[in-house]
Amino acid sequence: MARKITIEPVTRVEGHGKVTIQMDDNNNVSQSRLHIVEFRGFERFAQGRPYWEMPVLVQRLCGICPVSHHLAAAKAVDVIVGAGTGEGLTPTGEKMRRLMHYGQMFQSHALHFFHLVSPDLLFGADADPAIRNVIGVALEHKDLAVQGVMMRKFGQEIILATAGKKIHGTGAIPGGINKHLTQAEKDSFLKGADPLNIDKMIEWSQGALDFFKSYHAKNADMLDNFAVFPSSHLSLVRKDGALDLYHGVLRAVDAEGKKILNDVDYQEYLKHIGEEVRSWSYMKFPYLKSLGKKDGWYTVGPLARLNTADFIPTPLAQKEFEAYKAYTKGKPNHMSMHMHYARLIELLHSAEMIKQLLNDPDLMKGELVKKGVKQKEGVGLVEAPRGTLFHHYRIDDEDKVVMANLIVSTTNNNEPMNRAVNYVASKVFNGKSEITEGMMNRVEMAIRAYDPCLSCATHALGQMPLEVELVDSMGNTVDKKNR
Amino acid sequence: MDSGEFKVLVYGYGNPGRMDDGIGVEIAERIEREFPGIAVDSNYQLNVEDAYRLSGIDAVIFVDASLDSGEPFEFRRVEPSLNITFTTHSMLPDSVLSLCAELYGRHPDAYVLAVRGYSWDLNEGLSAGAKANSERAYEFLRDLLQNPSPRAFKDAADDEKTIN
Repeated sequence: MARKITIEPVTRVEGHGKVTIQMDDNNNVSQSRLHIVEFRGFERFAQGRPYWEMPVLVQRLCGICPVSHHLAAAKAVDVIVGAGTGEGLTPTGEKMRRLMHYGQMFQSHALHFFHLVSPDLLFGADADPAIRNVIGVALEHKDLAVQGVMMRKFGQEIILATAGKKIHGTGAIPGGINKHLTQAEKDSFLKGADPLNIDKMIEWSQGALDFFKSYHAKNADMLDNFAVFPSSHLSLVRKDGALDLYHGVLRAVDAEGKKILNDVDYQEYLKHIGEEVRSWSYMKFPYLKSLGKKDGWYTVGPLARLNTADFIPTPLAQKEFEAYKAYTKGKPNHMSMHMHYARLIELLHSAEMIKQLLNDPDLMKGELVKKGVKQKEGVGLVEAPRGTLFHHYRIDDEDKVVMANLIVSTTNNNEPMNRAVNYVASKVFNGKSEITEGMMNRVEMAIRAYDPCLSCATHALGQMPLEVELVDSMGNTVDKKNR
Repeated sequence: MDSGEFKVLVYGYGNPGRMDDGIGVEIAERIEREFPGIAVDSNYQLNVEDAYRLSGIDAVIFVDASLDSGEPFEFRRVEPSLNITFTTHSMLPDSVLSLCAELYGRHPDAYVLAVRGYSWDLNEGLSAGAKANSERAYEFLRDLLQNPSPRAFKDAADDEKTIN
C-alpha cells in the first residue's frame, strides 16, 4: 500500500515546517515536499503605515533575525528619504550599521554551528535525540559548548551596543543611525576580560574551522556526498567582487560558475527576479526571469555567497577561502553539507570585520544621518545569515506605505531545500518499511544546512512538538509519533 | 525593598509585536520600574547565552505567555531537563537550566510564571483577556518580590492551585 510519511514540524529549525514523503506501493519514494507556513500578512499590515516606522515595525516579523529585517527595511527607507543606497550614508551611519550587521551574522553563525550542527557531527545522525543536542554537546564536549555560548553572547552585546535595545532595536533610522559607539563600549569589545573580547572571538572562530576541517578529513565521504545537486547561486557582492554582507550589487552564477546576473543594481530587482506560486505550498518560489520558472531557481546563503564572490576582504578568512575554493578547483561548490564550511569562513570574516570596524574612529564621531530629495519608492537588501533578504516599499503623498514586498532568505531557498529533501529522502527511505530516528534526522539535516527561519512564528509555551505521521494512499493514518 | 544576598532575576520573554506573546516582556518591564533591587532581563526568546546569565544568580522567574496554561496564570517550579524538547533557535527554561548546570556546575532555583494568552496576531498590545491575566500575574509577582526568599518562592509554587 502506498504510504505518505509526514514529519511535522521539522526539528531544530525555526517556525513550522512539514515534510511529506510520499511512498509508492513498493516502498520507494515517489515524491518529497517541504511545506512551510510562511507568514505573508506583513505586506498587508504595512500598508497605510508611515514609511519611517518600517525599520522598527518589521522586527515584529521574527525574533530570530530581527536585525536583518531592521537593516533591510532601513536601507529601503534610506532610498525614500533621498540618502541613496548603501554607500550614500555618512561614514558613521554606514559603519555603525555594518557593525550591527556583522555582530548579528557572528552570533547567528556561531549559534547555528555550535548548537544546531555540531550535535550531528559529534554524535552522528543515528544518535539518540536525547543526547544529539546542545545539552549532549555540553556533557561530552564542554569546551565547544562554552565557546558557542560566549560567541553568541559577544554578538548579542554588539547588537545591543549598536541597535540600542534587545527587543525592537531602534539604532538604524531613515538615512543613518541614531548613536555613536562609546569609548567604554569600544574598550569592552576590544580589550574585555577573556573570553569576551574580539581577539578571543577570532581565535575561537579559527578553532571552529579547524574542528570542521578535521572532521571533514575523517568523514569526507559523508560530507561531500550528502544532498549534492547542481544549482545557480545568488547574492550581493561588493562592486569589485568582494564578499560583502551589508551592501553591493546583485550577482548570480550558474552551476558552472558563469555569471548569469552580472552585478546589477538591486533597486531594479523586479526586472530580474520573479516569484512563482505553486498550489501545494504557502511559500513562493523565486526565480531568475532570464532563465524562466523551470530553470531560474537559485540558492542563497553562505554556500551561494562563497560561490559568487571573487575574494574575501579580510586576511584570515581569505586564506580559508582559497583552500575552500581549491577543493572544488575553483568551480561552484554544490555540496549541501559544505554550507557549514562556508558558514564558518563567514564566521571568521565577521569577527575580522568587527575588529576592523571597532578600530575605526568614524564609529565614535561624525554625522549620523544624511537626507536628500524624497523618493516614492525604495528597495533595501542585505545578506542575512540565511541569505539574501529583500525589502521593497512604495509610499503615497502622505508618506504612507501603499505597497510592501518582502522576499526573505528562506523563500529564496525554497526550491533548493525541496531538492535537498528529495535527494536525501530517496537515499534513505527507498525500500524501507520502518522509519528510524536516523532516517528522519537525515532529512532534517538536509534542511538544517540552509538554517531556515520558517515562519517567524511566536514561540509561546506549548508550541512546537514534533509529530511524525504515516498516511497510506487512502489518507488513513497508519502510524503517528511525537517527541 | 532590598533583596539582600538572595539574587533574583525576573526574565520576561516574547515578541511584543505579536500581541499576547508580549506578556512576559510587559510584566518584566513593570517589575524593572518598580523593583530597582531586582535584576530584570527580557528578550524575544531564551537561548544558549542565557545559561551564562543564570550561572550567577540564586533564583530566576521566567515570565512567558502560554497557549494552554490555566487561567489567569500558573506559577510552577522548573527543574533542569536533559530530555529537552526544544526544536528551534530558541530554548525552553528547563533546557537553559540544564545547559547552565552542565557548563557552570550550578543552576539557580527556577520558576515559570506562565500567563495565559489568546491572540498572536501581528499587532502591539495585549488582548482584553490577556491584559486581565497579565494584571493578576503582575500582582502575584509584586507580592512575591516584596520579601523574596527561597522558601517564599517554593511555597508559592506549592500553593499554585490556591493561587488560581
